[in-house]
Amino acid sequence: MVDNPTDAIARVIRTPKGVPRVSIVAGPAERRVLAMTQSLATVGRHETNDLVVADPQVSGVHIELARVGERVRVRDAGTTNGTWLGAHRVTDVELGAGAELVVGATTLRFDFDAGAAPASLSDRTSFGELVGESTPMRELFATLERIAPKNLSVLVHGETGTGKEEVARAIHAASTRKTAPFVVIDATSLPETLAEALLFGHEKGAFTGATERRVGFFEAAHGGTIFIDEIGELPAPLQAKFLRVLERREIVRVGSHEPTPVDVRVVVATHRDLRNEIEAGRFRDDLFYRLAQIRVRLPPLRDRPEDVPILCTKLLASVSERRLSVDAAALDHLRAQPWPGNVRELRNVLARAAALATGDVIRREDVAGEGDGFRGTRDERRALDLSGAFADAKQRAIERFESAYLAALMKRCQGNLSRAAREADVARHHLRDLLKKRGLYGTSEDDAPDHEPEA
Amino acid sequence: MRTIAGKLRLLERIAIGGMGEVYRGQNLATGGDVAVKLLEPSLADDDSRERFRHEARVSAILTHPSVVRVFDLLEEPDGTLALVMELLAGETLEQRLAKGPLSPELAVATMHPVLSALDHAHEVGIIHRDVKPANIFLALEPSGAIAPKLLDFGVAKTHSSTVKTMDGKVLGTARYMSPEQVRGEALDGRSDVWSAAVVTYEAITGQSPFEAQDGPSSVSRILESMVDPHERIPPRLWLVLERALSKQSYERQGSASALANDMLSALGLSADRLPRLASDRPPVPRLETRGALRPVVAPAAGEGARPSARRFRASVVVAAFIGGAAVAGSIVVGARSRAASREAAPPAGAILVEAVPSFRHVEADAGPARAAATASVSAEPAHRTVPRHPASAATAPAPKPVATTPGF
Repeated sequence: MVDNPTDAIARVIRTPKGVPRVSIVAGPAERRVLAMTQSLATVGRHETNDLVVADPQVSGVHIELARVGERVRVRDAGTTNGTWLGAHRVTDVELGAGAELVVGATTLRFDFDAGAAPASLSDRTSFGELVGESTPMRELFATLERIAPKNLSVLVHGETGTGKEEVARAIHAASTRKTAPFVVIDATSLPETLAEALLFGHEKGAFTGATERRVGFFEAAHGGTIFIDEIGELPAPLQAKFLRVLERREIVRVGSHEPTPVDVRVVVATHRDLRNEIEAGRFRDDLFYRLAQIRVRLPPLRDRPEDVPILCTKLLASVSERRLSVDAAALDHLRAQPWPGNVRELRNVLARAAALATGDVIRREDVAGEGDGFRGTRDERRALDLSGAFADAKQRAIERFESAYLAALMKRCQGNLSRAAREADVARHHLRDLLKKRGLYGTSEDDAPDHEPEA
Repeated sequence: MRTIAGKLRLLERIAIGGMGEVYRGQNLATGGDVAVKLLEPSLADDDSRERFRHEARVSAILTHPSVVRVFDLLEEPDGTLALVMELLAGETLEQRLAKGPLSPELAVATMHPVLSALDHAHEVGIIHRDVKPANIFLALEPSGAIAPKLLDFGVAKTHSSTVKTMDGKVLGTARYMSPEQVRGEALDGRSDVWSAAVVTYEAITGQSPFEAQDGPSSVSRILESMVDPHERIPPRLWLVLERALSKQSYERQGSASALANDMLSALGLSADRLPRLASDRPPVPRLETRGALRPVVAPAAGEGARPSARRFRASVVVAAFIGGAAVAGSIVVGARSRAASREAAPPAGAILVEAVPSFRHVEADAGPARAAATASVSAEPAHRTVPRHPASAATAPAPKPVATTPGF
């Protein structure tokens, strides 16, 4: 009955540091309370929020919370009804104990629970290709360590370039499925008419042009992991079919009636919070639950500037043969950037800086005007450098043009190389070479159907 | 054969534990069977004697169909304490889970009456503090259905409790303890809510959410580790359990009944239409010991009506399998006699059997149509119908009653 020796308890009882706490104190919703033991949390009406606010005027996901010491950073998730601090509508604000926020008809009160302990962090600073020393990243690594060996579906939510595919690869590599296939699909690149045949395969003669029997992605991934990027883009008819596959663990090839059993672990990614897509009627709730047994959030790079140095070390090793380092001034600059393209953008910046750097140190001037996205706004505003020899000046201008053009092109085509090649009217291999030359050929930039090894 | 206090004869030992033994006993005056838990003077220090008395007192406060009844506490001149309890046949949830996990529906249906009992206890200010599979008894009813009951209020805490929990001694079973219990803090009903969620998780998955693969580190896991979902737990039910397993009690459901309701709605079940555990063992003719010894506390108004309602339900089940279109009334009369229920014994006809062996669904008011409808309630894909039970249960030996072993 008493099978826990006292010393076992004494060993684990430690002084908790305390965490901020958010309580529903008024309004129609059940009076729930959230202790911010995790560094990131969401508040909204959908049942999967960390703090569920059952108020019809509150959005599926209404606000995002980030723990900042004893305070909480609150961001409105782009809601129509807004988030209110007294008479002020707030979109991004840091709140301390005593603050009261109104969402819909509900009042949230912020205070501090000195008795609650923050969630324990992983000791590691990398997981697969992901690196980070920040609290949210080490929390993420702790989660990934735990869930990778289990057969649970995972939904990865993060902005572009945060490393969603790297999460999927790391999960696969740390699972018992690591020797089995890892198949990547970009839902945005699935042509609607062919999507079903591509995913589930087709029999010979199933439709015009089906001259061969073809194995679909799901069958190709049998025993392994399938990663579907931008799952929010999956057309509605496919969502229904996908749900059936997940429920029955079998697929039916186009043109066939015989179900084929498949054993795949599914990892999906999205840059939008799917719970708001559900609310808008664009994503199936039941599919969400199936796909999101585990939900992980990849924080944007601007929210974890403390990770910039360790990221630089890792990324420089992958983009350059030389042993390069970044000096303090350059690091300060990089840490302060908004990084809309996140880690992928940092990687591209470092690739270019590595090419520009004369010595083995990357300096402030090598990364000037970088880190604010592919839009090149600051770049474009900067006048052309007209000094020096004609050939050199022309070369610099061409480089700038190419970088800006290619970045815009790839962004427009959502990283789909084939589509970008069509739009730019250049051969696919030529475009790839250009992208490589400009350091824009990053991870997962390729299109899915004929996925190529990483650059 | 030993006799206690001149009025109870001990017939056979049915369980043995570290602190004492449990016997099947017979009331010499009425002939009724009871379970008798003995605390021998040689084994009893003041602490365990007080716990023994405490359990009797706490049980007397509780009047709930899912709490095992304690009828009396007897003391022999030599100091032997005897707790006289309702005799139950069946097995503990722990024994049941050793044979394999339950479907989510059955796990929730099993926990529902347990949570109802906890809610009742909490309302009168009693915290159980030791909710675990070994303390949930799946009592076999005459119908062959199972009625889960909460056992062992031996470490329960009342407002006026004198049971000691100081001296750094934490009562309770480590892997089901709430974080606040591990820390030795003041407890309320939400500590039991936590433990009930751990039991539910374990019943569905066959594994504890905190049991480490590599040793007895579950105490630190309770305080620190996040619990992950499990393939066998449906996502919406998981959200309910995840909330009940919040480290801070204020993050959990506020009451045991709130947890019960949340679990039901997560699975789309309703309280009056729960799948029921049933045993594949033939029903035991001698089960109803109520009335053999009057309970110390008079049953509440609602309580008195229950046994007959249950008996009626049992009859309907029997009716369904004996006669099909038989006139229910006449069967009801017949089924009330022991012989009839013995003959009609295995209500196996068209009942759906779960993939997990030895238990089947019987719905609360199971007729054949209802039983068939149960199929849609269950999430387990593999159902099969069993053929009509070939053997007459009358010839089969009645299963040995396994008694409650609270506190041992």
